[in-house]
Amino acid sequence: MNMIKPIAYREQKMQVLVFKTNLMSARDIHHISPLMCNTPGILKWNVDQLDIDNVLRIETAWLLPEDIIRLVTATGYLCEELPD
Amino acid sequence: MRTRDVNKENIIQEKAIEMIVKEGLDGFSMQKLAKAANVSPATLYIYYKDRDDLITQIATTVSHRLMETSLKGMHPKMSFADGLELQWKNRMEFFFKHPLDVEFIEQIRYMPTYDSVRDSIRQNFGDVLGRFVHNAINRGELQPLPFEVYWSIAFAPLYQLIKFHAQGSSPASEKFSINDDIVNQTLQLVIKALKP
Repeated sequence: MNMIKPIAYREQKMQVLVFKTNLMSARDIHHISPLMCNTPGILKWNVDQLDIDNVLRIETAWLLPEDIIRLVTATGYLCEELPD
Repeated sequence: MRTRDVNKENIIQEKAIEMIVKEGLDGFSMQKLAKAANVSPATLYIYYKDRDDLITQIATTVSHRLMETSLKGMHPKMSFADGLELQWKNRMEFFFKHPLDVEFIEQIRYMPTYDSVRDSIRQNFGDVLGRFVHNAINRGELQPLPFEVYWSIAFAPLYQLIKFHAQGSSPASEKFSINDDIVNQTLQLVIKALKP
């Protein structure tokens, strides 16, 4: 019997990644919305519009901070990881 | 790996309440809170989705604490006078033990965020109080009233006394502090007013 579990079935730990951005208005958020929704691996995302850092918060099991930074900066917005 | 830490969460809540009471909601930011609670802003976002979520979650915790305290020892079959007296005592106890919590609730009570807190209170505590009031009406100890009228008469007088006490003065005297006689006198009038 095959006892080896494929990687996708292994239990994965959910991670919260947070970034400082310049996603300030509803329009900015609307702008990156398709990207966030269509990227496999992003389970939940939101932007804290009421706070001064415009924090982008992402829940993912396997994406790395660099992946998100690459995605967002490619659309022309600022995105840097908030220090832990 | 970031994981939840109950102790840290408590410190965050405590500091947030302190900051919102002292500086108001406008001056409140996640950065300031992170600094005050000695955690990184990134850590805050593990516990809370955003600033709104943080305020809602803390308000829910505090409101539940207040309701749990005010219903301590309550039984739906209690006489109306005993039940109301107990609730007054319990509420006063909470005010004196957690003055910051009370001020915090007052600050956010009129925000749209508070709606979800109100729903959760109704779901969790509506039953005991509803039955208590219902029984009192059936026994002829309380007249049927719209909720708002009932609440305004049953509890607002206590809150006003507490407010005078917190101010340390009233329009009539420069020095005011609450005492059992004054509370009891007010309570008896309230019970009388609510009788059919």
